[in-house]
Amino acid sequence: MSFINPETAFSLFRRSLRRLDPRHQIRNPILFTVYVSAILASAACFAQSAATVGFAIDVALVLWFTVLFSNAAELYAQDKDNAQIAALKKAHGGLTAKKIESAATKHHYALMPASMLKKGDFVFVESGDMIPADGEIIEGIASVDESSITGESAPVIREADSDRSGVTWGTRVLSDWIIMRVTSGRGETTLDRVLAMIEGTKRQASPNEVALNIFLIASTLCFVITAATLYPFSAFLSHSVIGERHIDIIMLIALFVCLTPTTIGGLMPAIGIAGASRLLQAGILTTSSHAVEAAGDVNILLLDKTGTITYGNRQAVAFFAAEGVPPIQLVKAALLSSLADDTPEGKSIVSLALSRYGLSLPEKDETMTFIPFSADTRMSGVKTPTTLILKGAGDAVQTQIALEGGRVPADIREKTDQIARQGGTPMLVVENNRVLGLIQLKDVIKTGIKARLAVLRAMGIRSVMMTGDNPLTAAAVAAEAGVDDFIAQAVPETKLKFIRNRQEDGDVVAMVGDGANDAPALAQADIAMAMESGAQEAKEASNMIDMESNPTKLIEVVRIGKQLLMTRGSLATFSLASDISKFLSVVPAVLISAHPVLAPLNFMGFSSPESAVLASLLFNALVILFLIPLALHGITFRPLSSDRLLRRHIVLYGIGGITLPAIGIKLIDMLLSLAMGAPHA
Amino acid sequence: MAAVFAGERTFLSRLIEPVEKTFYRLCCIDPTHEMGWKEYTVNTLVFSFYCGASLFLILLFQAYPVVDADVAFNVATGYITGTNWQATAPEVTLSALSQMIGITTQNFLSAAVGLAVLMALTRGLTRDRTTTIGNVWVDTVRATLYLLLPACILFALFLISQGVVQTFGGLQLFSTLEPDSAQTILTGPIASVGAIKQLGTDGGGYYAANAAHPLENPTPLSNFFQMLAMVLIPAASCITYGKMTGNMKQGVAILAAMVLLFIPFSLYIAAVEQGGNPLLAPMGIDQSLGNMEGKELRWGTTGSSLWATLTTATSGGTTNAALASFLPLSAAASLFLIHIGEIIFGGVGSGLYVMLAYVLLTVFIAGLMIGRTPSYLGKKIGVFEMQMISIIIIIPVLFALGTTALAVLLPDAHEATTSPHAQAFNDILHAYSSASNNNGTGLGGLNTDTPFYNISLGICILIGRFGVIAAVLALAGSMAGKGAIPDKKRSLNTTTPLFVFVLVFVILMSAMAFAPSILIGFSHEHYHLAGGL
Repeated sequence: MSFINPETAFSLFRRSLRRLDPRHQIRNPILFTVYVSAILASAACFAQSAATVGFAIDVALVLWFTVLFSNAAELYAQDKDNAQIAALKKAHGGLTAKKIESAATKHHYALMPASMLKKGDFVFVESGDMIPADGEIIEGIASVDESSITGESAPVIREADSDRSGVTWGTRVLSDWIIMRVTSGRGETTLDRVLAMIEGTKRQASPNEVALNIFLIASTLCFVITAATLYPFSAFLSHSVIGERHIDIIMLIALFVCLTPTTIGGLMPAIGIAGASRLLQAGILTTSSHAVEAAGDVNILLLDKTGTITYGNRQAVAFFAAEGVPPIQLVKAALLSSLADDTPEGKSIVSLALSRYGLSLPEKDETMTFIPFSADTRMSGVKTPTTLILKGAGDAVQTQIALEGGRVPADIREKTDQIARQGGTPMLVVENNRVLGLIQLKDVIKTGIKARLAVLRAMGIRSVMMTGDNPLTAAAVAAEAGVDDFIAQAVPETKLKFIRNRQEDGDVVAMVGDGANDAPALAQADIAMAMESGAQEAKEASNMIDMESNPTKLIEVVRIGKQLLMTRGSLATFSLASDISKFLSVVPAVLISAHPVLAPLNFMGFSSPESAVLASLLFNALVILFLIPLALHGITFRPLSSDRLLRRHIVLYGIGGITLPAIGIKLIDMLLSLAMGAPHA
Repeated sequence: MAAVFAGERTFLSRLIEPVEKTFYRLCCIDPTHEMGWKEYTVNTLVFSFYCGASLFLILLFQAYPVVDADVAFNVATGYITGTNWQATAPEVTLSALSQMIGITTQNFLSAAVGLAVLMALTRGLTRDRTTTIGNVWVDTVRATLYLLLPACILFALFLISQGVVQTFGGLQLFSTLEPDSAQTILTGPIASVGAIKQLGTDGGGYYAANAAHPLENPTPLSNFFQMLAMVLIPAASCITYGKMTGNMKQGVAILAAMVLLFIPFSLYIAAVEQGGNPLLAPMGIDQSLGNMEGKELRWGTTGSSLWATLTTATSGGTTNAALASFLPLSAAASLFLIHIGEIIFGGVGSGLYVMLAYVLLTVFIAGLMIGRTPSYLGKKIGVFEMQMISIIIIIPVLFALGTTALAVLLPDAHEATTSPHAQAFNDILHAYSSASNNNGTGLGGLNTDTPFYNISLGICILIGRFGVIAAVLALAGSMAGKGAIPDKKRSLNTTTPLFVFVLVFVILMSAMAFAPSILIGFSHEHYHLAGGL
C-alpha cells in the first residue's frame, strides 16, 4: 500500500482537495449530500455562540475529511488504473517491422516499430517474422501460421495476385518471403481503439451499480426528510418545557451524515475503478462494464479445442514403421530430416525421437543439404551424398514418389486412413523413394488445462469443447482434457444454435474464440472473450479481449465479476448494518443535546452528547479510509454454494457491521473525552 | 384464492358464475382481455376515483346528518383506500343508508382493489415475457364475489349469533340497569359493517368506539374471531402467493418473516401494558391488571394489546381499546408497526404487495453479496425495479414525516389537540403515519375534524395508497416483461431461514427513517411519565 509513502499521500491529499469542485462532487450523489452538509456546517459555525463554536468547527472539519477520504479513494484507484493502462500499452507495442521503400529494394529495409507503420507502407516479411500489420501481399508466396487466428494448425499459403493475398497482423510467416502493403496501420486495430476508449472515456456504470445507487439515493433522501423534520418536531416539543431548546442545526447535520450510507457511497466509485483495474492487471480489456458483472452469472463456457484445450500445433506422438523396416531406421530417418525443420511439428518429431528412442542428437555436417519446408511442395527433408529423405503430408509425398514409380505399401495406407479418421495427422517418411513408415501427429492437451477446468467446475461452470473434428476424436480429446461436454463437427451455425438453445434454457453462456468464423457465436454469447492474437472479426464481436491470449482467462473474468458484485453488496450491507450502531449512538445523543429529560436514552454511556456525535462522525469518516484496501482488492472469492456464501458474508459484513462501529464509536468517544480532559459543555 | 384469480372454477362457481357474467355484461367488460401495467393502473385509479366521487356525493347529499365537504372528502378517501380514517364518530356523521351503500360497499371494493393489485404483482413475478398482468375489473369482481362476499356473509352470521346487532331499527330505547331511566342507542346493520371491516382490514366500525363497543364486539368469542379475521386474508394471501409462484416455500418464507416480526412486538406491547402506569400506582389505583386506562374491562390488557398489535401490524385500523391510553412505549411500538409499512400480515392485498417490494430489495442486496446479478423467481432485478421500490419506500416517509412537520408548524394544529404537548405531537405523528400507510387508527387525543386535518389527511391517504399502487403495478409490468430463468440452484435461495432473517433485518432497517421521530415524541412522553411530570 503506497499510502504509507508520505509523498504519495500528500499528492493524493492535494488532488483530493482539488476535487472539491462542486461540478465534480455532484457525480456521486450520496457524497454530494455530505459535501453540502459540510458547507452548511461550516456556514453554521458563524452562527454559534462562543461556547458551542468549537464543537461546530470540529463537526465541519470531520465532514470535510469524510468527503476528502472518499475523493482520495477514487483518485487512488484511478492512479492504479492509469498505471495499468500505461504498462499494457508498453507491453504490446513491441513488434518491429522491416520497412522498405518499394518492392524493388527488399533487402534494404529499415527496422521500425510496427506501431509507426502507416497505411500504404511496404514491408518485407521473411520466414520467422511476425506480420506487423494487416495488409496485402504484392509480391512473393509464403506459408503462414494463422493458427492464432483461425485455430487451424496447418499453415496456409498466402501469395500475391490471388484471392489468398490478404495477411493479418500477428500471424507468422513460416517459410519463404513476401512483400506486403499495409492496409491498416497498427493504430487502427481493435486493441488500440479499446485502449483509447478505456483511457479516454469515463467509466460507464454497470446496471447493478446504477440500481444500487438508486437505492442508496432513496435511503439518503429518507434520511434528509428524517433530519429536516426533526427540527420542527423538536421545536414543537420544547415549547412547553422549561430549560429545553430545540435541536441545533449542527446536530441535525451530524445526524443526517451518520445515517446516510456514506461508507458504500464514498467507496462506490473506487470499487468500480478497481474492478476494471484488476481486469487490466489480468490482461483483459473490456468495453462493457456490464459484461464483467454478467460474467459472475456464467454457467456454461464454450471453448475452442485448438489452441485452447490443445496446443495450436499438432505434435508427433508415435512412429509406425512399414512392414520389413526396422523401427529404428524410420526413427533415425525422421530425426535426420527434421534437424533443420523449424516448424513446431518438426521440433516435436526431434524431441519424440530423442526421448522415446534414447537417440542422441546427430551432428549436422556440410555433406547434408537440408530441404526446408515450402508451401509449394509441402515437404521438407535432407539430402546427403547417399540418401534423400523426405517427409510430408500423405498425399504430397505420395504424388512425389509416384513420379519415380514408388508406391505406398498397403499396411501403411491403412494406418494412414486410421490415423486420419481419429483426427490425427499422418506424415509419411520416404528414403530414396521407399516408404519407411509414418509419424503420427496428434493434438496434445495443454498442461494444466485439466486443473483449470476443475476450478471452473467448482465455480459451477460447465465447460463445453467445440471442435471441427469427428465425434470420435472429439470424445477422445474431451475425455482426456476433462471437459464436461463437446460439440463435434462444429460449424459456425452449430455453435450459434447451441448458444441460443442454452440461453433459452436460462443458461448464461460465455464463449472464448479467436477465429473469424467464431464471430457470429461470439456476438450471440452473453460473455464473449476474444484472443488478442485472434481475428479482427472475433474481436469486434466480443465484449472482452484477452491480451495474453490465454483462453482459460475467463476464470479470472468470472472471479473479478463476482468479486465486484460481492464487494459492492457486502460493503452496502456493512454500511447499512453500521447504521444501526450509529443510529443507537447518535440519535439519543442528538435528542439529549436539546432535551435533557431524555438523558436516560444514553444507554451506551457516552461522556457527552457532543463527544458521542463527534465520535460517530469520526468513525464514519475513518471507516472509509480503512475500507479502501478492501474496496480496491475486492472480497476474496471462494467457490462456495450460494447459501454458504450468503451466510459467510452476512456474518462478516452484516453482524460485523453492527458490532464494529459500536465498539469503534465507544472507543473514539473515550479517547475524545480523555483528550479534552473534561466533557464538552 | 389462487383458483379464483387464475379464473378457474371453485366450489362456489355454480352459484356465482351467473352473477359474475351478468356483471361483465352490464359493465361491458371483456373478462378475457388482458391489460398491460399502464392500462391496469389507469383503470384502478379511474375505478377508485369513481368510487371516491360517488361516496363523496352520497355523503354530501345525505339528508341527515349534514356532512361538510371536507369531512366528506376525508371519509371518501379513507374508505376507498381501506384506511377508514374516522375524524368524526361515524354513528353521528353517517346515516344507516350511507353506512350500507356507501361505506360497506367501499369496504368491500377497497379490499378487492388491494387484492387485485397483489394479484397483478404476483402475475408480473410469475409470468414469462408478457406485457400483461391481468384485468383489474375481473380481479376486483372475482375478489368480491368469490372471496370477500361469501366470507363476510359467514362472518356476519357468526357475529349476529354472538349478539352483534343487525337491524335498520335506528334509535332504540333501552332500559338501563338504573331503575326508571332509559337510554337511546343508535343501532344499525352493525354485523355486516363489522364483518368486512375486519376481513377487509378496513377498520371503519359502526361506532367511533369501534370494537370496544359492546354492540360491535359483544363476547370473548366475537373478540377472538374478529382478531383472527384481521389476519385471515393477509396471511392466506401468502399461501396463495406461494401457490401461484408454484413454490409453496416462497409464500411460507414470507409468512415466517411476518410471524417473526409479529411475535416480539405483540409480546412487547402486552408486557408494557401489563406493567401498568407508574403514575397511577402511587395514587392508590390498582395496577395489578396492568394499565387498564381506556381499555374494556372485558378484554383486559392482554386482549387489548394483542388487538392493538394486530390492528397496526395489519392495515386494520379497528380498535377494541383507546390507543391514546396505551403507555408511550407500547404506543410507540404500535406506531413502529405502522411505519414499517403494515406488512406484517398487512392490509388485504396491500400488506403482501409492499412486503414483496421488500423481498425484492432484500434479494437485490443479498444477491450482490453472493456475487450474482440479483434475481427473484428467476427474474433479474434491474434499475427500473429499484426505482419503483425506492418510490414505495419514500412515499410513506415523505408524507408521514413531511405533513407532521407541516402540522406542528401551523398554529391551527396546536389548537386541535387536547393532550399534553408531547402527547399532542405523538397524536399528530400517529395520525399522519396512520393515514400515509392506510392504517386508520388514531390516538384519539387529536380532534382531526377540522378542514386542515380532513384535507391534509385525505391527501396523505390518497398518495399513500395510490402512489404506492402505481409503483407496485409498474413493478409488476416490468417484471412480467422479463424472461424467467429456470432456477438451477445457482441463484439466491429465497426460502431459507437465513433469507427470512435478512428480510426481517431489511424491514427493520427501512423503518429507521421514522425511528428518531418516534423516539423524540414517545420518549418525551415516557420520561415525562416516569419523571411524574
